[in-house]
Amino acid sequence: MAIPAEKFRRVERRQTEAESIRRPSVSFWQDAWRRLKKNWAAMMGLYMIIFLVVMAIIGPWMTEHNYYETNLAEGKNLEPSGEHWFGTDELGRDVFVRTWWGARISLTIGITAALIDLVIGVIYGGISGYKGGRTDEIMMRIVDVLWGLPYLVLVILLLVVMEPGVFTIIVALSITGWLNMARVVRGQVLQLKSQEFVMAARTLGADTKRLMMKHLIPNTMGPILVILTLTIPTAILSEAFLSFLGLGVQAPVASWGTMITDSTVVILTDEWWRLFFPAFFLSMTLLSFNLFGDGLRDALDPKMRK
Amino acid sequence: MSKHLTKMVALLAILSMTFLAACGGGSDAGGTEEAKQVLNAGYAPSEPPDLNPNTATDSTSGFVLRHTMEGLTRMSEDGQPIPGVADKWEPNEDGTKITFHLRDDAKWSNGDPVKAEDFEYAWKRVLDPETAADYAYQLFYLKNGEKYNAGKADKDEVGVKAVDDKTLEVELEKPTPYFMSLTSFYTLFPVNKSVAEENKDWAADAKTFVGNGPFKLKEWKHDEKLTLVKNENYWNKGKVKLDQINLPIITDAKTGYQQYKSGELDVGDSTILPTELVASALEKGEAKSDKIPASYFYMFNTKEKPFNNAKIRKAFALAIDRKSIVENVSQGGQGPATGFVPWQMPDHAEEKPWVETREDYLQPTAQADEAKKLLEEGMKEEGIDKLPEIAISYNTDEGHKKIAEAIQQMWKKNLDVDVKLNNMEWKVYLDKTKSGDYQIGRLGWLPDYIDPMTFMDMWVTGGGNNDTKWSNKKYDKLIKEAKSTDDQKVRMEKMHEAEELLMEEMPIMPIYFYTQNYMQQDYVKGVKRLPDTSTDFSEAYLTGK
Amino acid sequence: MSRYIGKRLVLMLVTLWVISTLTFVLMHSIPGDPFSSEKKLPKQTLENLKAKYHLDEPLPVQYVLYMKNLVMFDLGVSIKSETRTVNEYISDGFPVSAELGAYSMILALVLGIGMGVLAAFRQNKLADYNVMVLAVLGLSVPSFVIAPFFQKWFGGDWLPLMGWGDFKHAILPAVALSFLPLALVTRLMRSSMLEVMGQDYIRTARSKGLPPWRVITRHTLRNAIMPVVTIIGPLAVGILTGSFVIEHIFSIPGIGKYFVDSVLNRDYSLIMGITIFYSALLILVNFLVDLAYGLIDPRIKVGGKEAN
Repeated sequence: MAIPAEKFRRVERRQTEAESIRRPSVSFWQDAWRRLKKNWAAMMGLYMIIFLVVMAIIGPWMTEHNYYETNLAEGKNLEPSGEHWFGTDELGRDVFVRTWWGARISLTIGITAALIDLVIGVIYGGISGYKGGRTDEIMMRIVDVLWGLPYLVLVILLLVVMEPGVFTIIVALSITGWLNMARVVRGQVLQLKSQEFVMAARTLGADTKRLMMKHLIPNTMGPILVILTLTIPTAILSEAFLSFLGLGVQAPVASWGTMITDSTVVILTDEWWRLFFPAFFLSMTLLSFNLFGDGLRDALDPKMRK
Repeated sequence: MSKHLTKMVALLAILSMTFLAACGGGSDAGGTEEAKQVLNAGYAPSEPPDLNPNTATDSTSGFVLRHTMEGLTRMSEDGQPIPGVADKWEPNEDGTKITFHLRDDAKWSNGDPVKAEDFEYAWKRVLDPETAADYAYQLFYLKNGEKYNAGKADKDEVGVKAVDDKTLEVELEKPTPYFMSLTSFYTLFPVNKSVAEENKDWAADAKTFVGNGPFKLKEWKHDEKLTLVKNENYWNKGKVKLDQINLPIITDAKTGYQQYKSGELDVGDSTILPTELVASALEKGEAKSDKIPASYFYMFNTKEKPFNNAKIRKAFALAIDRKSIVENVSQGGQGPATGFVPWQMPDHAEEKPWVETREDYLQPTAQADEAKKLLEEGMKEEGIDKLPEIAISYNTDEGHKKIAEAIQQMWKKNLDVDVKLNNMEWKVYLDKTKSGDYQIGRLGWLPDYIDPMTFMDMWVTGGGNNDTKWSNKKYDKLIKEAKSTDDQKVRMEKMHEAEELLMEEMPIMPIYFYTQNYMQQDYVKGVKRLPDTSTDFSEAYLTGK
Repeated sequence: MSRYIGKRLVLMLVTLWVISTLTFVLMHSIPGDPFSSEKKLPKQTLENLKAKYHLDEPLPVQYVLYMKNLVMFDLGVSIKSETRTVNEYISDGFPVSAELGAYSMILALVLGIGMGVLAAFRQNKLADYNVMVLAVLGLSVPSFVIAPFFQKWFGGDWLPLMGWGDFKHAILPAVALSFLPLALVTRLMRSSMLEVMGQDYIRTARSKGLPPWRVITRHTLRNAIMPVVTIIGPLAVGILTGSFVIEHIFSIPGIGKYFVDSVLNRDYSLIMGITIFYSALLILVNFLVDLAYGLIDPRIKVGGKEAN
């Protein structure tokens, strides 16, 4: 039974439709969100992040204490109590307030550094890997140079030209923070760009930008998120080192990094609370971002769409 | 030192030597192989960068050198020079020339006799511009010493000369009463001339290292450990009871502390006692604390507003509670500074501690009312009704930070002044204070020699270490007068006067006097802790370990 | 291929030259000099010292002098310790750091890949979460906190608290040092395993009835290991050249602490020497990583023609 040719109608091809999948029109993001909501671990991570951010905002005002006032005579190294919920430090300052004041600085630094790494690292690595050849060669050698330069020297130089503070810390972290991200994204793109689905998409007429944003980057999401979750604690802890050099926020303002660094001695004594609380919330931050990140990865994974 | 006293000391030394030798022999006979005396000492927080006494500058190298070498004199526990390689010495009438007589039995660890020319060689090498020794200034007291170092005098004009193998003649630029106390310092140690001329890197390796001290360097594993063993060629070996000193390099004091607690170490200083643990260790009786002649203070940049005004400086200085700082913040047994010249520094005129022969210029607690009044007066003098932004600069260190934080709060409370803190990396900090780019900076000062002058001559106009840029003609005159005589009474009087002036003008704000904290197991005996902050194990021993 | 390698070698030398030149300029522009200290030296002494180390010459002259020596593989003498050459620092310290680093790397790779694979196969199950908590601790508890805890718990009777010598000395620092790379490798492995396991060819292999371990070894692992290989390069160089913190805490005679100490001391020749040594290793390893890409996945062509 032959079908006459006139029964066929030519389908108008538009690039955006070239590979569109016919199903109820749920946007990519709506779909991702729907699946994220079903993932209890990811949602727990999200709630933990919200909790930390809220506490960073209101925590310092929850008690009558402040982060700077010392109580040398009788308030030193008190253990947690109704008066001082997280105890006091070696100068008699309230650890609860200092922890949440520190959260402001540390969360700001951690998250900003991660975002900067994400933007610079993904774009740089993506271009390098996608372009390949000479461009890749040059771009990667620049990465090598930045990696090889003595970081400490760069940072001390920064100390000379910039005022100490959170912004300076972020600049210092951004000099080399994105290198890992760029190398990993480039490696992934190199691998992916020779795979069938990329060729298929290209054959179907996807342009470079679309190829990158819709095909290459989403398929690199897993490693990207892992590197990001590495950046956050590294940035928060590097802040302590940069503050040591004089780049950071000035005492008596504390950050988790400096609180942890300054209290490692309690491992040999009994004032565990001075180390425990900042370290605990730093780990909690990281755990929440990991849970959320994993959930996000699953939700964004195009292969897992059902 | 009179000849009489020298003889007495020598006699005593011989007597005690025979006595101890007898005792030692007794225990040797009864003891077994295990009775070998090995001391594990925590005194090396870093690799010694340089074991050549000509150029060494750091405390680890200093520790090794003090035990493997010996100068013309050694230092007694009360800071007096006692015979070392020289068994006697006599100054001339006006104190510009000292003749040292070297003992006949002084030998190098390779068996060579220690000769006067070994000193001449070493000292001239320290001053040689080509050696570029950091501590060359320790020998600027020699005639033409400074000039030779500056390339303006000839080597032969330098005032040190080996008259014969056993006689060393030292000529000084001008009478310097504290020169004798320097002869026990390692920069003035001898160097075996024939060894050094043959191999200029003789001090770079344990195999080629030649010393003349109670111990010899047996092993030097870079960044790991040093081993010293008893030197059989040492003239006073009868007094040396330790067979071996193990000196592991311990870069982290907290690790060192645990090593000590687990019994791996017998004794140690801040290398094994972290600042943060000093308070609890002192309380528990694990650590002991010795007063040392050193000062911790803040300096004001007197060229910048508002600290160009003496009253404002004084107001800040009076508004801190020094007692609370030493008891609650530094917590290492330090003493609240009552003046600039620290405790343990002798007043050579009265043979009493300096702090007892002067009035207390500062009270231990804060004088808030007076401070407030002074601040108001000072601001009126300057014609300002609001202080500019003020910052304390300090080099990053847990201890400095805590003190700065405490002082910040004290100024807030007692003067109602907001002060910022500014920490920075050490060399950046040095660069900033040197170039005057600071308002308030911190400094700790250890003596170069046991005389108040090592503190007082810092603040003369244009002084190399005077970062306050403070300048006072009367002060300069007093110091100059004190320096041009060897009459101790006049010297001390002038310096007292100068200190009073300093405390009136307050270009610096003394905070506390230092202590040296250490831990030592009960079975370690005979350790000598000297006023120049060094520790001497040459006669130490272990009993009942 | 050999042409590509040749080109890369030339490029590596150029990179190294750029790094050393930049380092030279940068380190001379930071404040402070090797001789500054609390007690300032007399002017004359300072001049003598500068003359001795040729620091009194104009910078370009110093640069040319340095580069001349560098070509002869002479890295000069440390300013802080005039009896030790920079070459000696490296030849004394690097083997120690490398040995310690190798233990940590092996530990991190073996355990990390194993745990990552396990977590991926048990995704969102208890094992997965346990592994994640471990990894989170590894990433967020810094080594300067882990190491003292190790010393407190295991040091003393069981294992030496510090120092270097036999294998026993290496255990605590190696484990402490491996925490971060272990956590990173685990997380990376898990994520890229999940990525690969969703791919069609794995489903095909599975549905063919291949036993699961063959699927893992033959197909999944090979494709999933890319990000780990990428990150391993710089990570390994960092770890093999020593860790400042770990070497400091355990008093290990490695090279790691000199990365920090040399700069804090402004020991110019040591800064240069260590930077060049480290960079050379890094560049070499990144090159090897690129070569490894081709071996792992023959479709990858590094240094091929440029895409448009």
